[in-house]
Amino acid sequence: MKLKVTIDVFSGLPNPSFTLGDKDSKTFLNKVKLQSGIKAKENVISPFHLGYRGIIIEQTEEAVSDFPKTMYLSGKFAFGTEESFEILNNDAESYALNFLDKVRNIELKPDFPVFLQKEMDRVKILRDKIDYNKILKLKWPILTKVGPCYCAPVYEPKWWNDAGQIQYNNNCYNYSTNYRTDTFAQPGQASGHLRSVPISSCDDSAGYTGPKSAAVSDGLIDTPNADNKCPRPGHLVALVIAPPPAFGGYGDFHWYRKGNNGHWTHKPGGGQATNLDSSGNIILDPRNADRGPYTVFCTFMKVLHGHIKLQ
Amino acid sequence: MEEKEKWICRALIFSGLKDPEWKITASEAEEILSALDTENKTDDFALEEDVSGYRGCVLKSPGGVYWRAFNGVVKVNDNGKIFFCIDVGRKFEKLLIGSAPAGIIAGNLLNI
Repeated sequence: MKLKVTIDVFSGLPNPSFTLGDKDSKTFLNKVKLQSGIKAKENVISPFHLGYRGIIIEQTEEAVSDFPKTMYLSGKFAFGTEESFEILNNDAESYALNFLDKVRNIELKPDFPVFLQKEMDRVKILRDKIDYNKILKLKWPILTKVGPCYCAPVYEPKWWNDAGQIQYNNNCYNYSTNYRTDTFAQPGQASGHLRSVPISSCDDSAGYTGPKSAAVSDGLIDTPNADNKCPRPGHLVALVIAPPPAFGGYGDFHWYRKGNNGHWTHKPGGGQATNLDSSGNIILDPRNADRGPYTVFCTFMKVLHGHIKLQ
Repeated sequence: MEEKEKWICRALIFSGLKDPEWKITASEAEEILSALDTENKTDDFALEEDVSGYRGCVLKSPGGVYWRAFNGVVKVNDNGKIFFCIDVGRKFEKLLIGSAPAGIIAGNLLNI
């Protein structure tokens, strides 16, 4: 068997990692003393502090079944992708210090082993002080004071409306997803599932790729029953189309986004981002707003930040 | 102004689909810019925004200066410095749109 061991210590720079052969891998796993019958309590959360946090162990060859294929070792716990376990040996992490000379992916400074040992000692004390129950209880009340859709982007028209590179090169799709590409992004362009032209309908048909499936291909999540409610996490967007004969027969698509304050805003192509509809009214629900030629409401979609790719 | 450096023009029509875009030479840009009254510029103005349909046209120089014309007003962004000029009779706007190669803009997409 082989293990890839990564020491999770940095925030920005790549973490040091090394590979262990068969003999060292087995010795390492024996040190962990994973008790598969003893599952971690539900109120345990994986580490989130800065500095040394733990060790990632991945079985890369001939995986053994009594350990998760990938697990995150941190203090008394081993976090697998589906289950977490208590471990009996609190010193399993320190065993990794014996193999720092095998690190090849980054250059370690001579004093790094001493630094890492001190970090491990510091974190041992820190872990005993963290009250996980208190953290889990605090999480939601703080966030709900920010706004009704606290996961959604803030309306910041000045940033988008620079009358230059940003405004003229980012369209409704860029704006609604809060994703600047400077390419006038097209649904499906990044994922190889480009929307067809003319924009004749929301949905696909024979030989036609609609903007809805194209956006799903980019990572947006179709939520037709969202009913104007803020998702958590992520934010809500709405897709509408102007079918032919609009726009000289080309049709067009348009997107809105629901903001942090619960109101909807949009950016008509190279025009300015605005919170007003075609009648000059604040947009509370794009289904009822004056959308000009974009007469067909397709669907609501959810955008999970960092989960989409536009081009 | 060098002939080899192309100036970029765009008609702002669509919200989602890519707008018609074409390039012109420096001498063509010079002729279009001569229609603009740059003596009477002001930063105390606003460009009328239309949320749907044609909303003007944009000229971008190789040096990154933008001119956006719509309905008698031109908004200029000279590398972050914003000001406005009056486009009498929409002359600048019409010349800019007129510089588009035939067929690149469907006639019924514009209302100028």
